[in-house]
Amino acid sequence: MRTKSEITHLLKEVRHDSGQAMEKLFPLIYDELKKIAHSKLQKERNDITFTETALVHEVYMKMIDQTKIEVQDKNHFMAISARCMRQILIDHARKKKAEKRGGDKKDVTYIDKLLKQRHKTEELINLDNELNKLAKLDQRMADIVVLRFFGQMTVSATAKALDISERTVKRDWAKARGWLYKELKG
Amino acid sequence: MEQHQWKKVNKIVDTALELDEQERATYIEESCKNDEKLKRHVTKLLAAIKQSETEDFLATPDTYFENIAGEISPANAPDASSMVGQQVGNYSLHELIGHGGMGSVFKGKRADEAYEKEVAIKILRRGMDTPSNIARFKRERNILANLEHPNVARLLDGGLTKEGLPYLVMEYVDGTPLLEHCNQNNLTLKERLELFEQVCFAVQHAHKNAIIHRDLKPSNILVTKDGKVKVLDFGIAKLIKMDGSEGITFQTRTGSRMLTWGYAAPEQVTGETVTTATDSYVLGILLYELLTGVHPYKIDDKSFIELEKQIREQQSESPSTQFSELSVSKKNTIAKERKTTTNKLSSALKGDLDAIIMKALRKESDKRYSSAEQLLEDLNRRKTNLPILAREDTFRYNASKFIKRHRTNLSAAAGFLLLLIGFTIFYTWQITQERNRAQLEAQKAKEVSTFLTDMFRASNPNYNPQDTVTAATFLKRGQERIDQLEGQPEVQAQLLEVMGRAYTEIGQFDKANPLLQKSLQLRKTHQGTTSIAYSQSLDAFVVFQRLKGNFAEAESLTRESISIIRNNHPNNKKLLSNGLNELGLMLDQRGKYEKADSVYKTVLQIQQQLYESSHPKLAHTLNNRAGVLRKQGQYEKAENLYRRSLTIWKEKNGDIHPSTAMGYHDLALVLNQQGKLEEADSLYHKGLKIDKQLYDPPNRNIAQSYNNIGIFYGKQGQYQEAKPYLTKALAMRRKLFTESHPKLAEILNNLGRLHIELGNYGKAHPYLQEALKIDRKNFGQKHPYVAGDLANLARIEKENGSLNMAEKHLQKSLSIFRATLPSDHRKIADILTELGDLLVFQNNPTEAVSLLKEALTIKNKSYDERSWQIAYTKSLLGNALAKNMEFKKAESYLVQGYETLKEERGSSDNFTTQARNNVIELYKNWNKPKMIQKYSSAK
Repeated sequence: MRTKSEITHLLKEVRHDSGQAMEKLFPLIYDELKKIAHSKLQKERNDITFTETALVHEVYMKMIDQTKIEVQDKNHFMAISARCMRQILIDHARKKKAEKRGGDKKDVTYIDKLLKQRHKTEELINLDNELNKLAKLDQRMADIVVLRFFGQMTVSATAKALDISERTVKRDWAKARGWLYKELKG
Repeated sequence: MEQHQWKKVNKIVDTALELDEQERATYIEESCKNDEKLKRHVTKLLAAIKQSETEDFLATPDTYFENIAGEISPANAPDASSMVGQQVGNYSLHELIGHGGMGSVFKGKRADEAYEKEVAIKILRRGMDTPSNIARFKRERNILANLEHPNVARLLDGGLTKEGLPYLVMEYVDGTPLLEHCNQNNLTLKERLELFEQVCFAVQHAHKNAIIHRDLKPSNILVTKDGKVKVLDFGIAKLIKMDGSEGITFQTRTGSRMLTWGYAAPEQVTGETVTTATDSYVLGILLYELLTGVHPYKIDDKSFIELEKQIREQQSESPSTQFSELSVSKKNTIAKERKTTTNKLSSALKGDLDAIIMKALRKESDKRYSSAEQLLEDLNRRKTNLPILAREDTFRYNASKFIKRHRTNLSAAAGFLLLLIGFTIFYTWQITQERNRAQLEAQKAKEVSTFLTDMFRASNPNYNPQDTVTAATFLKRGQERIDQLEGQPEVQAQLLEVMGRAYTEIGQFDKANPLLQKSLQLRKTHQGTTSIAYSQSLDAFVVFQRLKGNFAEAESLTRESISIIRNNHPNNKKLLSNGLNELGLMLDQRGKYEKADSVYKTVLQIQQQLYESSHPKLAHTLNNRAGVLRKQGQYEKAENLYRRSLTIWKEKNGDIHPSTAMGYHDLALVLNQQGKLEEADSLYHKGLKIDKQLYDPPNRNIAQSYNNIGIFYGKQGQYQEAKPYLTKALAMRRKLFTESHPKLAEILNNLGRLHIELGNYGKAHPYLQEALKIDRKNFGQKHPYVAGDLANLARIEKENGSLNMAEKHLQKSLSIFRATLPSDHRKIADILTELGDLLVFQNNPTEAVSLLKEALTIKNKSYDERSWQIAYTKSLLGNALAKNMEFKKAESYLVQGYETLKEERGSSDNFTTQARNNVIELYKNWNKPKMIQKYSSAK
């Protein structure tokens, strides 16, 4: 495991070279998110429904040295987390789907809970497929969906993380949503 | 779709989204030319975009969770009625009374019958997505729960259901929507205006508390059978909206939202900041409909885009114009519903009412009435024929007002014509004065409300998390604003007073003092020492001095303020009763209980004429009076009054209310003193539970509850139980208050005393030292609090063997108490007793005897003869006499003391054991072995 300051340093790198640092951060954040999601199940409280946003925030607090970070870096962190979250949910959904066929019932996991709230397994997998198709047509629009939907990021945070204007985010989000709607429900 | 095809589609769609529907169709035609396939892609995508927005497909976080909540919420299921009979929080659902986009509304009652009236329970469809949103929901709910006004349907409670859906419990109002009520009963214009005023009262009250309704509409305003207006859902719109909405391309909304578009202000449509002027706008629409019978905009046949445009840009026609354009039959119906004729109605609308409504309906929010208060003021001015703010400052207008107002004096037209020219100059001047007056009041109100709104926002970190400004920062900004108001002394003084009060509240007395001083000075110079304004500055000082603990100073200021009201504003009974109530508090604090009691009796007499017998104001006075009776030992009477005021509060405010919580605590206190410990214990915890529901920790009321419960256990000798409560109270107060706040000293003192009782003198010492330091800083060297701290420290010094130090502390403490309290106060007796005991240790029995005798005299007067307090002093006095070789006298005190202590505190109690040892010691010195035997075996 890397130290907090190493990870913080990596995150700050993202701003300058988006490729490499991102590559390195992705698995780290992915693991941590998953770990926390599972540990949540152990000591889950009934009165509060944890969401991805809460999870991401917790991971962020745990992994990053808050004193050495700027707002922009946090947006990048959220963006990577959104991608991780997509991966986690889709992996899980596929596994669920396979299990359903196999008929082997496992324990309820925290991710199950997230999924239940989020979407029915099938729909999520379909969405993921369509999102891949959309990415081929328009990568930016697909990115915006990942951040807005899986990361629950605001328009303003999405704009900053992708370094585009809020106006563009709003317009692309509307179009992407329409496109997905057309493919999935139209 | 291929990449190159997509590029084309994308480009056309981008442009199309910028256009309105008509332009869009033309544009698509043009850009797709004859490419049918391209055109199909474009229109399909556009339709899908619109549809996805309507359905909030993959919505932004907050709206997305609305759908999720909808999926799991029984409220959204077709049979919300299946929830009837279930329980939500403490409430059972009896009947489904409403069902809409936001959720479902049930009629119900509290399941534990702690509150008997029927309530409306609104279960929202939208889930709470993050802990911070839940916290925000609670905080907002607490703010709204404090909104208390006869015309506002109270928010009683709220929380999350088991499924995580927010629910709100409100006062159930059995009434008819305002417009329906007016038309069904054919109310006249005057009657309608009177009802409308009640609506304004409600909104004004909310605005003064920095709460904006945001969703006023006819269905939210009900009239009860006895003709009282109740405004529902105050601030709920904000409460349930979790994030700033990110308005996207299409401004379409779901059905429930559409209906309220007729009552949306321009800034709500464009998503700009909502202010108190937003409510003024909607009040304008309501008044429009109420008076003319038609909505200012023709909304029926319009698309959303047209509607939005209209709301944003198009000024509506004035009420009288729109009315005149209606068909004859419609005009007749409307006039009939107002028991008048078409012509009369038309001319009544023309002029002031037209102007007032049109000012309320201005598109630019800063040109409107800034709050309900201003609107109300103009309506009042219209009634009394004073010039209204909304009218242009024309000579004709002013003169016509002047004539109306002075009609009786100027009945002779000829005389009027002759005098007109001469008078014009004078009256123009007078009218200008009046207008200035109105503008000044308006500006004062605006400055203060802006300041308060800012404060309110500043204390809410969610308002602007990127730029969290603390209340203190805002106060600083307020000060800068004050400097800019140089040359407008009345406005300045008002803002100074409000800020001084705010600083006082947060315990920054150093900052509050100069502000209040300046406010007082300005008002003295510009408004005079007989003005109500001046007396209000005095009142602010009263609170300042009271919270600082300078009760003598506070008392004399209160008296000054009261005499200003009595002598110059004798008809203002409300101000008088407020002032007297404050005086009562002060007398109470100073130990003048009998005087305080008689003041409260006067207050009650005045208030009984002003308010109905179950008014919360009366409850407050009853509660205050009960406190005084309690301190005089009249426990039964006090209990009685406490129960009465608690009943009123429960009745009027429900269980979850600050006053109700206070009622429980105070009742607990008196039961505690009567030895009804079990009930006291349960009430203390009830109060604490309410506090915890009302406020998020750290909070001063919760801290106070912890403190009181800690003391309660401490007094019963349950020190281990007391410890966690007092410790928590200290931790909370350290977070809440500045390091020299009196409340901090209070809890330090209590914890110090607890540790003394536990024998942890080392731990007690720093607490008490800190308390002393704070009290000295706040109250100076010669304050009763300082005396108390010194007495406590003396006990530690004594236990540590530093007898001289202990004596020094006690002497100082005694001299302070003697100078500040009545000569027969119990506190003085306590110190005399401690000092006497100490002097015996120091081999000065002669001096000790005289002090203990004085102590005994006081205690005999103020305690029941069976009290252990008397016995304790008797035992010590006996001991001192024994040391002085006066065995015979000593014997009677020592034996009496011991016997009573044994009975009252039990034979193994520390005091009892000590008293027995003293008896044995006496007989040893007196050489009476038989008696030694007797008491040695008396265990």
